[in-house]
Amino acid sequence: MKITNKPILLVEDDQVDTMTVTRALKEIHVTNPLVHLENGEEAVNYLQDPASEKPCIILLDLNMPIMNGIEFLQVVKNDDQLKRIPVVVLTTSEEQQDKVNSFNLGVAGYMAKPVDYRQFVEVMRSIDAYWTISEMP
Amino acid sequence: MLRNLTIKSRLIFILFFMGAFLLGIELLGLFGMSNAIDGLKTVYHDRAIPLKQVADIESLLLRNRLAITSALMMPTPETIQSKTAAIDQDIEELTRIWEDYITTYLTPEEKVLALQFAEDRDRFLTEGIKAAVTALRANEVGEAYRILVEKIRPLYDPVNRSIKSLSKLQLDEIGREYNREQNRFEAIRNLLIASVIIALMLAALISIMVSRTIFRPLEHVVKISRGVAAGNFMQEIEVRSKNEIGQLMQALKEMRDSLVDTIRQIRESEAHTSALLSNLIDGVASIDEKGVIKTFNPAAERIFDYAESELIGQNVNLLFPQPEPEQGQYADYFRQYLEAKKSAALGMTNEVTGLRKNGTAFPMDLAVVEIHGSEHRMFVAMMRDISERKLVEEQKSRLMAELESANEELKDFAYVVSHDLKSPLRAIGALADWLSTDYADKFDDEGKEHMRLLVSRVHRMSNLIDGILQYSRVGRVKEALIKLDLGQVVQEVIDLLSPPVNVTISVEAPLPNIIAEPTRVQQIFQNLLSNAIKYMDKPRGEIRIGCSAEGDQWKFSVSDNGPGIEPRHFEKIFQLFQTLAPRDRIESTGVGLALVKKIVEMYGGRIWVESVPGEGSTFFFTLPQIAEVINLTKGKEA
Repeated sequence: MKITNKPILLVEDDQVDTMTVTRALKEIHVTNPLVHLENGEEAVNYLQDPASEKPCIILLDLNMPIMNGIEFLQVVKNDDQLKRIPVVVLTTSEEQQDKVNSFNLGVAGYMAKPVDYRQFVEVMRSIDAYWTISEMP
Repeated sequence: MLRNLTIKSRLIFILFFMGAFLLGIELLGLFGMSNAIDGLKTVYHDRAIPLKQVADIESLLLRNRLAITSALMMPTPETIQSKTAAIDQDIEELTRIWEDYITTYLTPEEKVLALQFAEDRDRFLTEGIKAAVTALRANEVGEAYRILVEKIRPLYDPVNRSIKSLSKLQLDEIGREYNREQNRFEAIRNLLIASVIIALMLAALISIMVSRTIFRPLEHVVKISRGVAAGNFMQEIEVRSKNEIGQLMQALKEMRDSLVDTIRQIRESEAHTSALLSNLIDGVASIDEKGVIKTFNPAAERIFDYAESELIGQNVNLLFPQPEPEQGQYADYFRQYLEAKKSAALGMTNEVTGLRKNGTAFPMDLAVVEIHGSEHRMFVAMMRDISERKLVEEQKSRLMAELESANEELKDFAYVVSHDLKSPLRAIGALADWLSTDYADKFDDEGKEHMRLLVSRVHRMSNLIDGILQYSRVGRVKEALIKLDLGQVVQEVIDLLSPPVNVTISVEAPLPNIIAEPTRVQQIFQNLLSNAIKYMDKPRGEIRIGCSAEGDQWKFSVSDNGPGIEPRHFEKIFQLFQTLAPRDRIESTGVGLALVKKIVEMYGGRIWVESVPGEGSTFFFTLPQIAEVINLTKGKEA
């Protein structure tokens, strides 16, 4: 990540998936702190709390309890303070409708989680590479 | 023969006959009358005139005698002179009358008498009167007196006698003539009376005949007509003659026959209609403009549970539940219709609530049409009990709802499979990977092999899930139909598959342009070509793609020189999850051909395989030249 002191916000309800992300980030030597929240509502609360530090990127799962990813996006992208934070969707869903909805809500990327862990590491590596070279507002 | 004459000719004949008869009688009368008049004339001429003449002669003779006597009474010369002159004149007159008299018609008897008289008279005149006149002229009064006494007086007696008898004869003759004429008049009178009687009898006869030939048959016709009017069509109508009555009878018979025929037709049609009405599934009732029920067919009886007799004359509102005040639309349905003449409700089927005899309400379809043509407005209501249909509809809609929810679940299934099944699978994969990396030094070779198998099964399961998802997306996820250059599509697929160098793929015929969903068409070729490559068992693989037009479809073929397929597997290979090789040898989900089949059939085409085991297989499939995506039923999709 270009900005190394800002946290990465991971919104993910699955424990193993969280472990996978943590491990992959560690493997590719991303040093940013990881803030993990289990659903959209918690994430919204965190983001809207002035005390909490704003993340440099949000890794978002779509299928979550209480508030799912699409609902989370609807809140965040309508919030002037939050809408410029890049959101990368990390999901199992290959449904066209989910992709359409996500891009309609201005996501920065849409990644299907591969079954193979090695491949997942490569996905994370690509994301890191991209957001290392991309300028941010 | 007379019977076959027309009444007109008969009447003309009778009138002619009557006229001739009357004319004959008239002529006879006239003839008789003129005869009688002639007779009277004869009486006058032949009898009255001679009688007068005889009387004249007598009076003249008597006067002569008186003149002589009177001259002798006063024998002055003047007297003698005047008297003798008068006598001469009288004799002259007498002679003239006598000559007239004897020229008249005299009977032989008269003639004899007349001659006798003439003789007596001549003697009387000559010897008596003339001699006396001569004596007087000679002034010999004595001589004259002597003649008077001796001649005139005795000679006058025979004259007088014969003239008397002549007169008497004349009178007798007149009496006879009179009697004769009277008899004749009587004959004429009798004749006239007889002719009147005959005419009356004839008239009576004719009227009887007319009544026989005209009025009685006419009355018969009237009776038959009344009978027909009263509905007795079976009575015998006998045509007895060819005259007008006969024609009338014939016409009546024809009318009756035609009427019977018409009535039979009407009855048949009525029977037909009534049979139709009776056997109609729909209830039919006819209602007048006041809403009074006129007819009610059996189906309607069944629907409402009323007998027809209970409802005839009742108001139709009886068949509808008394509505709540706010929804009083059927209280006066028909009156409402009459007020709003062109009601939209008329002629259209409306769903309304009906009321059975036992008071239960039920849903029914109601259509009301107006019958035109009669004096009063009539309406025909067609009713159908739709309780069962409603029930079925409810069941159907419930089923539909269930199906929809099932379909919704199915849609969700893809999501569930992709997320909820794949997440744990991915977790297993990740954990297995970490185990084998983190604890690599702790596993022996067997343990490492198990871990590798574990990961590979995770991959296989992931592929299966992907296959299911792909399969379920066909027909459910719609793409836009676009014009595709199949040559280009196939080239892209070949590039994507990047076949190994020992396999050559050739396109043998120029491929057409079709209109279809690009992904699906791509999937067809991708699966068929990848199968051919995957199962290739020859050192030099040859795959050929062909295309030909067949009717309104394109027939495509993908042939290879691979292992071939036994005919008994031709059906099986197109079923989901069916593979012919062990999965460990050739990694296959068994989704590919099933997917291809589903896509081809979705486009209305078909797919089949021809193969010689050991030499190769050819997969054929057809696609319509004008693509029309068949909406696969939801059931089939499942």
